[in-house]
Amino acid sequence: MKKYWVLNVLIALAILLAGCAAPAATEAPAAKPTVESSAATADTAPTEAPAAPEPTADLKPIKLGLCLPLTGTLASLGESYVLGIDMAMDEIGGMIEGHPIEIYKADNKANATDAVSAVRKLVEVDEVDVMIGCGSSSATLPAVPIIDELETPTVEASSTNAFVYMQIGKGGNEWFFKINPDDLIMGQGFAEYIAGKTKKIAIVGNDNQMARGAGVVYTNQFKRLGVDVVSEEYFEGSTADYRPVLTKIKNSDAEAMLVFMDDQSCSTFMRQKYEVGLDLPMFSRGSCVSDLVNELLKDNTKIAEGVTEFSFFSADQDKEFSKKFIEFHNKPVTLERMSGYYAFMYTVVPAIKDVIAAGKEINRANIRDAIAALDLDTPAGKIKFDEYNQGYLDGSLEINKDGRATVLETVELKPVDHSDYIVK
Amino acid sequence: MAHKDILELINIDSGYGDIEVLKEITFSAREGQIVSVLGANGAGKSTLMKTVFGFIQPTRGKILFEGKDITQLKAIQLLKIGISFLPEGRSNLPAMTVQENLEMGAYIRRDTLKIKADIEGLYKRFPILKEKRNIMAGNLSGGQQQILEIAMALMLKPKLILIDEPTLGLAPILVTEVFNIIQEINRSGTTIVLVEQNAKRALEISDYSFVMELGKIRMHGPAQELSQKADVIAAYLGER
Amino acid sequence: MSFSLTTLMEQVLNGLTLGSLYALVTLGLVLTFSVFNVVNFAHGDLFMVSGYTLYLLLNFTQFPYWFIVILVILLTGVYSVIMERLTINPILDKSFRAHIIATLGLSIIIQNAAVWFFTTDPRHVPTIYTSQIVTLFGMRASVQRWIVLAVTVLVFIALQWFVRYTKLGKTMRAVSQNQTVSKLLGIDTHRISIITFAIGGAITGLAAALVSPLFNVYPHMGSMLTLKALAAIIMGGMGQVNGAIYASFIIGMIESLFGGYVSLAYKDVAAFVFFIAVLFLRPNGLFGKRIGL
Ligand SMILES: Nc1ncnc2c1ncn2[C@@H]1O[C@H](COP(=O)(O)OP(=O)(O)OP(=O)(O)O)[C@@H](O)[C@H]1O
Ligand SMILES: [Mg+2]
Repeated sequence: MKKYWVLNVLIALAILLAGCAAPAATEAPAAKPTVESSAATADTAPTEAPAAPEPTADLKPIKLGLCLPLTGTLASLGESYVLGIDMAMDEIGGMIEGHPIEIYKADNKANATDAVSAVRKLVEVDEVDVMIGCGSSSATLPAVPIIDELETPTVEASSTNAFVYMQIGKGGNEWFFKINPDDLIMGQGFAEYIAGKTKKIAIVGNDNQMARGAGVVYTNQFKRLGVDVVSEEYFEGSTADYRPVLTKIKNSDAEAMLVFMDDQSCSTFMRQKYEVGLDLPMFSRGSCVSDLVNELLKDNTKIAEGVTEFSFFSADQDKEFSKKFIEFHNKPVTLERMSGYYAFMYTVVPAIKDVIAAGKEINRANIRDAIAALDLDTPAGKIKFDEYNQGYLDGSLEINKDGRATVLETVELKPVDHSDYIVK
Repeated sequence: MAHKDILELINIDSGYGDIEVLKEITFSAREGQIVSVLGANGAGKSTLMKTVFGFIQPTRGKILFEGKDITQLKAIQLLKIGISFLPEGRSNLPAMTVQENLEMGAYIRRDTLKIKADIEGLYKRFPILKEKRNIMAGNLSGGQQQILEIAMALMLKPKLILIDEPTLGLAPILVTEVFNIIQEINRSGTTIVLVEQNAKRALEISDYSFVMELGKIRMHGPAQELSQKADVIAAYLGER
Repeated sequence: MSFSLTTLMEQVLNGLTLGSLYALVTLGLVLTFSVFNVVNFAHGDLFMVSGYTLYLLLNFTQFPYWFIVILVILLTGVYSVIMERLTINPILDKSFRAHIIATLGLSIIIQNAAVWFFTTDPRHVPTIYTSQIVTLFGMRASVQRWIVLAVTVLVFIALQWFVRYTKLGKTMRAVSQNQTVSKLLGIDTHRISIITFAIGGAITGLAAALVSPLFNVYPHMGSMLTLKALAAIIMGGMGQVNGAIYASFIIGMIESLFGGYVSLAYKDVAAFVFFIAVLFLRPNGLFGKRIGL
């Protein structure tokens, strides 16, 4: 049995590593040495939570839970949030009014089962005061009822599936707040914009709640606007070959494409679109126009030329943030990197400050009430919730030109009646 | 002295892990002879062969080949000094052709050209193999596979071949053929240690015999002498 | 959508290129699997590490691409041998369960190490060929993709020749058929294990160096590749090199035709249903008559 030692060591190591990568409680994340960023971050490395100014040891720590996809196909989404939060933590020295912040992470793998157990773990085991998450619509939708049951204030800043809206706020989960607009809120304006350019369109998206939800919104809008949806296709996140569907669209009579994808899928998708010679105008609701996508396609800027995307949190809206982020992490800005920063810096932090300023106890209920009462103007739009706990950041119409995203127009977004959406 | 012992086992204990099978085995085979090992099922005959060929290490005792200690040697070293082993059951490569099997029989040889010639030589000796040279070994009949396995062993021109129950499951006519081949190989100078359950036929072709029971040697002597005591042997073999 | 012959032709070619890509990834795994019956769940992760090696070499050295490809092939051969020494060799004679635990554990370690070193950000590793588009047989594809198709065919033919006619190839076949008989013939099976993993690693390195420029490299990419390769291996008849390669092409073709004519969302389901049907009708796989390589 002597030869088994390697095996034993391996198993032990595996458990250990799997443990720190995923659901185990971790203190405020230290900077990860990355190949390109190690030099840049050497002098600005984010400090551990209870360090910096004066560790006011006797003040009660505030526990923040992060329910995010940390492994799986959307792992980079979770990590993006964390990068934004890392930077914010550095800015505030890891504490709010002397209260040190402890961060706990749980991996929801962007799926329903893991999302539910991630939330339970954060609330019941780590006993967090407030949460940020769950990042993707696929994890957020199943998490909402559990969060309601466990009564813990939660801030979400990137899910866009419109079903979330009807489950939160008045008559639903009063603990869940969404600062970003959903697809129904963004859909009308963008659908009208597209209808002004084309009358025959092919829809392609990831096979997840975000894309499928957007599909429902846009096919409804297009019906109203007389745009013919030639085809509608969804694929697994791990798909690597889009050529069959691209060939199909090429040989159909579609005049434009509307895609709902994450940055990674979209960069590969556009590369293959270029390869098969599918030369259609491309519209996007997702992450096809971002610094990360442009970074991935920098060897050939023609690939993403002219792609037009409607979104929120575009790097151009908050130039100061973008500049600081690139200096701090030496990484391009993406929507989710802003999501993490905004959810923390412009929502959780001011709400807790308000609680402290009002002389109230820092607990879940008081934090929730403070979040509900927030009214902030940020570079990316307003953080102010309607009765459905929905916030209204600005939307932005961006176009890719010469390998750079340029904002065409910033759109103030307004509440939309969600009731007929729910019927469908 | 005309004959010397090519293989000697002195006081060998051997087994599988904690299970001791062979106890104080002392055994020898004279150069140029056919020496048979007889015994009932489970007597330890195969264990004896595997111990000699280094597949299991004896816990006690010594094994000598041509007077040199080979107790610690591995299969590949034994092949090099001239010992080949045909274990119980099939020992060819079923998804390779007869030709390839013969080539693999010569695996440890480096003289590629001579290998070709030797294979041709074997084809002359065993025409059936030549006829089936491009057939997968697994598709040959049991008897043909046994002949192939013997031929594979011959590719190394061994001085000693250990053969474990070569006639198991063969029709009587094939048993005779295999025995004839073994005798022929022996006549050309190779010493043979043959494990057999069919005592009568084994005694007919061997020069010397050992009878095993429960991991021990119970009797040994020239085959002709032992043939006289057929009833005693039958008792040991459980053929009462 | 109206049926058109050119579209069909294009979809068939799509299937071929996708199949060749799967085949190249599968080759390295099926080789080690067929010889030693070890299911290496870390195979896709070896591909991933190899992809990052390509990324580093392309970004931090000035070598030409062809030279980098050779370096990646050699380095991946070395990674594979290290993997064999540390995890596979000690469990070679152990049960199937030990294989799964050890190689899955290894897979988790490698993935987490990659997250730690490279973060979860995807990287793209463009070569000069990724943006050069050529139309052959009516299909537009990048030169890189045509290279993958051509190299797969060449590697497959070379491997056939190697396994059939060289002494080492025959020895690997012998070990794959029966390890006891191989030992009887004087074959050092542990040495053959190292060599097999070195060759399997080199092929995986070649696959990564050619295929990853078509996609992005990211830490968790290996799991999907391992699954695809395992499906091809099982469908092709458990450890038959040829069968696994044909199965790779069949999977590519199903995904392409189903994705192109029915639905992209269920192309994996279609491939899976076919997979189950094969196992049901032919439990030994599509080509599962022979044993070994
Ligand atoms: N691999 C093994 N592990 C443990 N015990 C074994 C092993 N092989 C054989 N034995 C045991 O060793 C004893 C001798 O077995 P062996 O195979 O040597 O007998 P044999 O004389 O060759 O019998 P047969 O005529 O049936 O071939 C038996 O009791 C058997 O159960
Ligand atoms: Mg026996």
